[in-house]
Amino acid sequence: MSAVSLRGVTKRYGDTRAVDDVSFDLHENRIHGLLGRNGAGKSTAMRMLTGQEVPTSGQIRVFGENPYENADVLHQVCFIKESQRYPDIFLARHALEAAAMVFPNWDQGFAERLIEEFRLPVKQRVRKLSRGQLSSVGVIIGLAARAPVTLFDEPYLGLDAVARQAFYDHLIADYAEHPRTIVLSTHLIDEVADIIEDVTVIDRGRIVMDDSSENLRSQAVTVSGPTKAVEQFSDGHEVLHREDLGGFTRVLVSGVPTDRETASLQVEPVSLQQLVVRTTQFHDAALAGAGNGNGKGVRS
Amino acid sequence: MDDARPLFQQIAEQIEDSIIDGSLPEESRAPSTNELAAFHRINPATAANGINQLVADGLLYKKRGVGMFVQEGSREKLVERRQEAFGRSYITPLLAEAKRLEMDAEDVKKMIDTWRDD
Amino acid sequence: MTPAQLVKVARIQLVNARMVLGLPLLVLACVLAANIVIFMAIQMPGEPAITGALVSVYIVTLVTHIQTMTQMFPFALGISVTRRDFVAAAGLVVVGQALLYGVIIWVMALIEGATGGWGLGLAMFDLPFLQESNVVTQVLVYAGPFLLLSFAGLWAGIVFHRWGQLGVWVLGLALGALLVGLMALVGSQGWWQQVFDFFAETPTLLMFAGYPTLIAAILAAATYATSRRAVP
Repeated sequence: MSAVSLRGVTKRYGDTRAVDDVSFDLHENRIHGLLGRNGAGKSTAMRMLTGQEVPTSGQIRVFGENPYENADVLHQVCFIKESQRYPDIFLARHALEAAAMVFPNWDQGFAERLIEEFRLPVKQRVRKLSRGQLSSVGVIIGLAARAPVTLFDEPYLGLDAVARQAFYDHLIADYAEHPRTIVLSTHLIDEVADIIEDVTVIDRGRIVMDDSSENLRSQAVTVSGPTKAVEQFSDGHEVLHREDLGGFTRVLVSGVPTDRETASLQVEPVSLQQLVVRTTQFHDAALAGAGNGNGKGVRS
Repeated sequence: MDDARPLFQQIAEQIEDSIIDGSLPEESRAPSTNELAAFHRINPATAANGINQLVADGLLYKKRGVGMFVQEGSREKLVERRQEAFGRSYITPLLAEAKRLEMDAEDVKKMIDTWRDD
Repeated sequence: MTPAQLVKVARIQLVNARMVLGLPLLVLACVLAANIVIFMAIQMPGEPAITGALVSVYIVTLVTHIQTMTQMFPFALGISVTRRDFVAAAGLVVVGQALLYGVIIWVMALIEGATGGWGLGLAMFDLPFLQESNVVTQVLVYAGPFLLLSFAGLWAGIVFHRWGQLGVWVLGLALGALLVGLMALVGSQGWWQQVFDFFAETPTLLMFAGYPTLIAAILAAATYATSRRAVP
């Protein structure tokens, strides 16, 4: 079942389409990765599905309802973003106290354990917090709120590796006990690759990839070897990336059956990060090609 | 976790390894989905898939309210299965290459004996 | 929007109540102290002294409510509060705060009377043009301008949040132009006498509580309308 669905959603700012005719679902009680380059439209999409912005056209449903100005739906949604600002008059604890009032599933004990772990000085004025401490305020709210739909938009700015690991560990453990729909939007794809079940990649406001990470991982491989053999192997499949050196070629192909003959070739798994980067570049190149009147992508 | 096979298979295989080497004896409690997820830092659903595969293979069984346990006889079953797989993935290519080098099975056996003595 | 929900969102705005409600009062206390010191230094014996320093607390309240919309509003939307709930709760806070401050100023006026103007014949609270004959109307007269200025602050705040400084400038210029236009109209029609009469003859209660409440209601509606498409 899908907790959130977007259908043909477009958001225009003047002439730019930040989000362009996008449709995707967030399945209930799964962890999703919403990935893409800066300015690709991820944050705009998340702002719209949390009712913070109104789409220019298209339909957004959260638990079957339009989230805009819908208090019943929004109290089940927690959106943690890197750019969140707090009132100057707040101490760190005020932000947490306010969140505790809003979110019906808030777990105060959990919040206190997290405060301890992230070493958040709760009696400090918010203005005096470091970038990392500010991020941990968001992370603590996002976890302790236990909202049925929780979105983390680059929540880690300024958090060191230890704190990020603590975040992942708590996220996995708490999600296991209290399943909910989670969205992780991040550039640190390698760090979340084993946590996310579903991957949605946005580029230039459009969806370029939307599948389970298991599927994506099993379908894409890097193949290297003599150019002829490589070309034979990848024939009829999407070549996302290609490098040549003399008679030697390396390609990243998607949609290859795993049982294909590979005698003279070296076949290696592809990390999710590699796959996302290459897919994004592939679509950028295809778009640029289309712009030059050459509508064809790089299909072999 | 970084090889090409699906994560859940890798998880299942690690538990199989523990059953084979005896660190997870028969009738002992196997790690839970949540423990596996936390340990490997993976999605609990993926860990659950791994466990489910072992249950489907008859290697683990569920005790209601207690957890997953290693089925009696599963070590033997696994060793048998792994021996078969060993043959497929090592002996077959070994003999194929030997044939190309004009060696027969006897020559290979002799070679193994020589190497073992070293 | 249930009353419980409204109270909850109001409590979020007051999560740091000491700052929100206390700051204007602290300023008031400081201003009172400063006035006492100044009048002790320069007092002419036997002459009653009136100070307009009370206006400071009204201005500070206006400024804090600009911040309600520029700072508290985006934070509240960030933790899944709706615009409607937020503006309604802000209205609730403003009304409660205006009445609270009205009572406090009334008490201060009583103290002022009992101490003979802080021992100096100083009138800072018990101002002649604000005097009412009963407690309720007296408190309302003190509270009315708080309502007006607080909602003005809320609207200015959301205009600033949506359109930045430019928006506030445009709004200010538009209101200024409107005022100049009205004055020109009054002047050209020779209505000045009627205007003076209006200010002179309008009863204190209507002048300081009735009309301000009416304008505050219009500002509240404007604040809500402006917040509808505001983004945190």
